[in-house]
Amino acid sequence: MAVLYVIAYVPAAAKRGAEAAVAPYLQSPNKAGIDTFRVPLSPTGSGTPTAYGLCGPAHDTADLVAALPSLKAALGGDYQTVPAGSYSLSRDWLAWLAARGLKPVAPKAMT
Amino acid sequence: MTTSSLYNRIRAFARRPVAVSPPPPAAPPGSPVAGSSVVRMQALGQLWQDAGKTVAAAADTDPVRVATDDAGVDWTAPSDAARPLLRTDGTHWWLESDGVDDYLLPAANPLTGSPSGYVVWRLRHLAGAGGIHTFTTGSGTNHTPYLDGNVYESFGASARSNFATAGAFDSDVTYEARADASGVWQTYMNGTLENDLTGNTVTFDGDGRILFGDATANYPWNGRLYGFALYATAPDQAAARSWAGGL
Repeated sequence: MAVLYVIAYVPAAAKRGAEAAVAPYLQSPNKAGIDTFRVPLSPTGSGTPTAYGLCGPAHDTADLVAALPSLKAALGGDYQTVPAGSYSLSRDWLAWLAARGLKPVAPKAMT
Repeated sequence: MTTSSLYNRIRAFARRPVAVSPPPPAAPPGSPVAGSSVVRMQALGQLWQDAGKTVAAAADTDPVRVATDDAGVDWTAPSDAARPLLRTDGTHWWLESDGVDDYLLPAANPLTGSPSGYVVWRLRHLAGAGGIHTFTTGSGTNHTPYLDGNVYESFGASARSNFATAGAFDSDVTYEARADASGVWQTYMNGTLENDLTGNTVTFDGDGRILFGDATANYPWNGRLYGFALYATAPDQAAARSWAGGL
């Protein structure tokens, strides 16, 4: 049983539906107020998010992995899976998003 | 004993289960803070994949939803997606985040309100994004040891622009932050004094949390964490440094 990173995004308008759709496949429920698709994305990396992303581990036998094609068909967006041991932040997250015209929204200033 | 029975005993001995996990490292020196003290990634059996703590994280790439420290306090990722991974190279064990959305937090920062504290980490900060944030304040003056995406190490000031940049460290380092009631406010990397903001008023006036990665500000952590120890007052720093260096 290998561990994969599930890397995905959904359009902002589909976020609420995406949270409900993936909830049954989680190993444990999220804490209240915490989303699975919690990374704001936009074409410029600033401004109002146009999409929300996730990058999280899942076992390759997990129902979530099997459900990804149907979730993409229902919700839009895109996904990929990457073996956890070979994950690269720059290649598998940032470059993958960039190829789809998206960037993580820049952090707010620390105060 | 017949030759046959001796052979069987030797064969049984050879087939006995062999522990593959390293022994847990020694406890840190001195007296760590009660209630939330020490997380040692090598102490297998303290890491769990699920929030209910029914599935242990004990093998390379296992996701970690809960890390239970030596005092029994749970450091929890708030979602499956936010789980870092347990990793090993066969010798060392560490938590590794994805640099996107991983973080762990305990129920409370035991140093909140204290004028003194000492933390020693063993970590590797991978360049590019993210960092380890500790004692993050919710608002107001920021007495915050943190390592951010640009690899600042910063303490006791109110804006990142006030802080020195030490460059990326893509190798393992031992990192210390120390404050005390006399106004000492220092950080060390591999035993060398890095920042000295002594004279600043220091109070651990955080929002009650210690974070690895700051999800609320979208500063994800990108790196390894081998372990750390948290003290109310600085112990023998050389001994604490040596302990962390062995993680």
